[in-house]
Amino acid sequence: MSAPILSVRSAEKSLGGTAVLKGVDLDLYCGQISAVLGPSGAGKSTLLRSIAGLEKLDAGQIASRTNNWDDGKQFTPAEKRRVGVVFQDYALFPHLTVEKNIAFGLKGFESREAAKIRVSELIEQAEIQAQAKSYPHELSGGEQQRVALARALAPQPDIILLDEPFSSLDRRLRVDLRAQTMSAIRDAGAAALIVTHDADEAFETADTLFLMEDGRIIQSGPPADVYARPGTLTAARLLGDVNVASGSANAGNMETVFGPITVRGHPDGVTLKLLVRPEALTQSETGAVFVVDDIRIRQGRHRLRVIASDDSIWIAELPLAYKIKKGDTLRLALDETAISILLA
Amino acid sequence: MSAHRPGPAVLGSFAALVAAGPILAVAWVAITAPWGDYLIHLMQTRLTGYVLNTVIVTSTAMLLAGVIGTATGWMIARLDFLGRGIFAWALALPLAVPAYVAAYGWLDLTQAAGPLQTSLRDVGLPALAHLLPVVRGPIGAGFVFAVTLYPYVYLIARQAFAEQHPDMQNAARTLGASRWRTMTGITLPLVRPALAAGLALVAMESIADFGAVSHLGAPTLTVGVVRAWAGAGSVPDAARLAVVLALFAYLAFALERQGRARARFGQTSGGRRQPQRKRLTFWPSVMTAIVCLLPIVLGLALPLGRLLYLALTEPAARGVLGGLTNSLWLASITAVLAAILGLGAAYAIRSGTKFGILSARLASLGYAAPGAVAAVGALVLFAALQTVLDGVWGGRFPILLSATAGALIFAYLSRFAAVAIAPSEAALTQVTHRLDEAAKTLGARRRRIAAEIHWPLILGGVGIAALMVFVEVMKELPATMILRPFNTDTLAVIAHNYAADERLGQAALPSLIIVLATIPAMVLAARSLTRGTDR
Repeated sequence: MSAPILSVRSAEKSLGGTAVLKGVDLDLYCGQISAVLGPSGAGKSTLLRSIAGLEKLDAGQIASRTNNWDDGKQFTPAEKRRVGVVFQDYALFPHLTVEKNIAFGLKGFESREAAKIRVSELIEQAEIQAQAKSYPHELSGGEQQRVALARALAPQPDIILLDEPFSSLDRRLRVDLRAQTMSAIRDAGAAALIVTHDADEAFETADTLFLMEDGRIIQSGPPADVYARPGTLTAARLLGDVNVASGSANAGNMETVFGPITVRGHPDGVTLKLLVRPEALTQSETGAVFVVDDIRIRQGRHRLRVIASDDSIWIAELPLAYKIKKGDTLRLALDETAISILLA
Repeated sequence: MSAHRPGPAVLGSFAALVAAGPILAVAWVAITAPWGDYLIHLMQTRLTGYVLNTVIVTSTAMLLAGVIGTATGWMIARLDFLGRGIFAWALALPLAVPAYVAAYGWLDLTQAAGPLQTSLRDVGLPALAHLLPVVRGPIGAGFVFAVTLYPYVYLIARQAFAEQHPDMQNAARTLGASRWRTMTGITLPLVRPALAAGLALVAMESIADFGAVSHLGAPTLTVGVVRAWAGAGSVPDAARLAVVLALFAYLAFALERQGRARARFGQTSGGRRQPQRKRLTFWPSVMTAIVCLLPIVLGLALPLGRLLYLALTEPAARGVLGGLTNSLWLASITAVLAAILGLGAAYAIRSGTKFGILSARLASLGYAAPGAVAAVGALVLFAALQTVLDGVWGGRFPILLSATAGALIFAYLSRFAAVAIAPSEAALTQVTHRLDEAAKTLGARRRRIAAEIHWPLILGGVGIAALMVFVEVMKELPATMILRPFNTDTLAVIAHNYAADERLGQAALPSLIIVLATIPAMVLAARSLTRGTDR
C-alpha cells in the first residue's frame, strides 16, 4: 500500500475537562473509504473535527502526506487544510442558493468560468438541476444531503470527512443515498472517512473499519475480518448481537452446551469467552437441545430467544420457512468457523 | 383540534378591535372631515420640516443603534470576557430610560451653560469647549434614540448570533474561507433579518417619540400631531398628520415583520448546538469590557447622573407624589388588561383558525401606531360614542370618556396590547397540542388542562407581558399629553412640562422615578427573554 494521505498519531483531546480522545491512531489512503464506528460519546465526531482542523489536539499529531497539520507546535487552521466535510445537519448556508452553496469553496481557486463549469457538473452529478436556484429550506432532506456532499467535493479535496451523513434521513432513502454518495466519493478518488454509529452503514460503505470506544480505536481492519474476529467483547457488540458463554480451557478444549469445542493455544485452566453470532447457530439433528422462549421476526428471519439445558439464554436466527412456536424444542449446532474465542 | 373555543377567539377579536379601531377612526376622519386652513397652512410651512426631521432622526438612530447593538450582541454571544455575565443583562438597561429623559440629561450636559463646556472654559480651553457638539437638533435626537434604543438590536442580534449553528462557520472554514470572509459572507448575512427586526423597532420608537424631539428642537411628525390637537384644537388636521405619521410607522413595521419571517428561514438545520464562546486573554478581555461599558455610560450613566445631580441640588418639583400615583394606577390597570387581551390573542393564534390568526395579527398592528395616532383615534371614537349616547339619552349624556381615564387606557391598550401578545405567544408555544392530547388521554377535562397544564407553563410569559406593558405605560408621553383627564398628570407629563419650561431641576426627580420604577421590570423582562440563549 502506498503512503497514507493522512496520519493521526496518539491523538489526545479533552473537552470541558473530559478526555474525549485518548490516544487515537488512524491512517487514511487515497481512493479508500474508511468508517469509524462507535456508540455516541465515543469521540468519533471530535476525531473528525480534529482532522478537519476545527479542534486543536492536546497531544499527538495529525499530518497530511506533505504537511504537519497539528503537532503541538504547528497548527494549520481548517481553512488552510482543504479537507471536505459533510456535516451531520449539513450546515448549508440558508441565505445562499444551492448553486452558491456549492460554489462557496471555489472562490480564489479557479477562474470564474472554471468554477461555473465545476458547479454545473456537480449539480448534474447530484441530480439537483431543478433545485439549482432554490434555497436550502426549500429542499427535501435527501436533496440537502446531496447539496452538502456536492459542496464538500467541489474544491476537489484529497480528504473528505462525513459526520453521520445519513442519520436524519429515513431508512429507504438512506440506502439509496448511501450507494450514490459512495460512488460519487469513489469517482472523486479522495480518501474518505465516514463517522457513524450504524453498523450496517459501516459495513456497506467502508473498505476499512475503525471501531471506536471511549476515546480509543479498539480494533481496525477490513469489515469482514473485524466482524468475524472481534478482538474484544465490546468490539463484537458494536457490530451486532452476540451470544457469550464462559468456560475454561482444558487440554485444548472448552466445554459448552454444544459439547466440547477446540480452543488451541490457550493454557489449561485459563477462563475463556466464547462469542457466537446468532446466525452461527443452525438447526441440526445432532445439535444441543434448546426450548424456544420468545419469537420475533427481524429482517425476514425468525429471531428466537432460546433456553439451553444449563438455563443459559441464547439468541438464534433461523429462516422464516421453519414453523416454530413458543415452547417448541429445537436442536441447534454451532458453525465453528463463525465463532470467536477471547480471553475473559 | 377543536375549533370551537369561543373564549380566546372572542378576546382575540376584541384585542384586534381595540388595536385597529383608533387607526381606522383616524383614517376615516382624515378622509371625510372638511379641510381646514390649518393643514394647508402647515403644508406650506412646517410639514416639510416635520417629514425631514422624522427621516433624519430615524436614520441616524438606526445607523448608530445598529452598530452598537450588533457589536455588543456579537461580543456577548461569542466572546468570554471580564464581566460578561453582568454586561449580558446590563446592556439592556438603557431601554429603561425613556428617550426624553436621556434628552434632558444630554442637552443639559452639553449645552453652552452646561457642566462640560463650563469646565473646559474654566481650565482655559474655550476653543475646545466651542468644538464640543451640543446634543440637539435631529442628529442629536438620533444620537439620544440610539443610546437608549440600541438594546432592541442588541437583544435580538445577541440571540441570533448565539443561535447560529456553529457548523455554519465551520463549514465555511473547511471550504477555505478566511475569518473575514466567514464574518462578512456567512455570520453577518445570517443575522441580517434579525438585525432588520431590531432596527425596525428602533425606527418605530423614534418615529413615535414626542418628548425627546420636542425638547431637542427637532420636531417630527409626532410633534406635528400633538401640536395640531393641543395648539390648533383640530382633530381632523391632527388625524391627517397622523395618517402620514402612521405610514412611516407601518413602513418600519412591515420591515420588522419581514425581518422576523426571514429570520425563521435562517435556520434550516435542526441542530440546537450553540457556538462556544471564545475566551479572551487579559488585555483583549479588558478592552472588550470597556467597549461594552460605553453604551451603558452613554445611555444610562451620563444622562441619569446629570439628572441625579440636578435633583439633589435644585428645589424639588411639586405634585410628584400625585404624579407617581397616577402613573402607577394607569400602568397597573393597563398592564393587567393588556395581558388578558394579549393572552386571548395568543390563544387565538394557537387555535389555528384563520379568523383567530387574522385578528391577532390585526391586534399586533396597534404597536406600530404611534401614541399620538392612537390618542387621536381614541378621541374620534369616544366623541362618536358620546354623540350616539347623547342621542339615546335625549340630551347631554353624563360626560363620558373623552376626558376620563377610560379613553386614555383605551389608547394605551390600542398601542400596547401588541406588546403583550408576543411573550404570551412565545409561552404558549411550549404548550404543544401534544400536551393537550396527552392530558386528555389521561382523563383531564378542558378546565383541568387549562389550570394544571397551560397556566403553569404560560404564567411566566403572561407576567412578562404585563411587566412590559407596565414599563411602556410608565414611560408613555404623547398619548397621555393628548388624553389625560384634568388633574391627572402622570410623572412623564410632569417631567415634560417642567422640561418645556426649562426647569430641568424640577423635571429631574419625576424622570428619575420613572427610570427607577421601570428598571426592575426591565431587568426581569430582559433576563427572561434571553434566558434560553445564555447558558
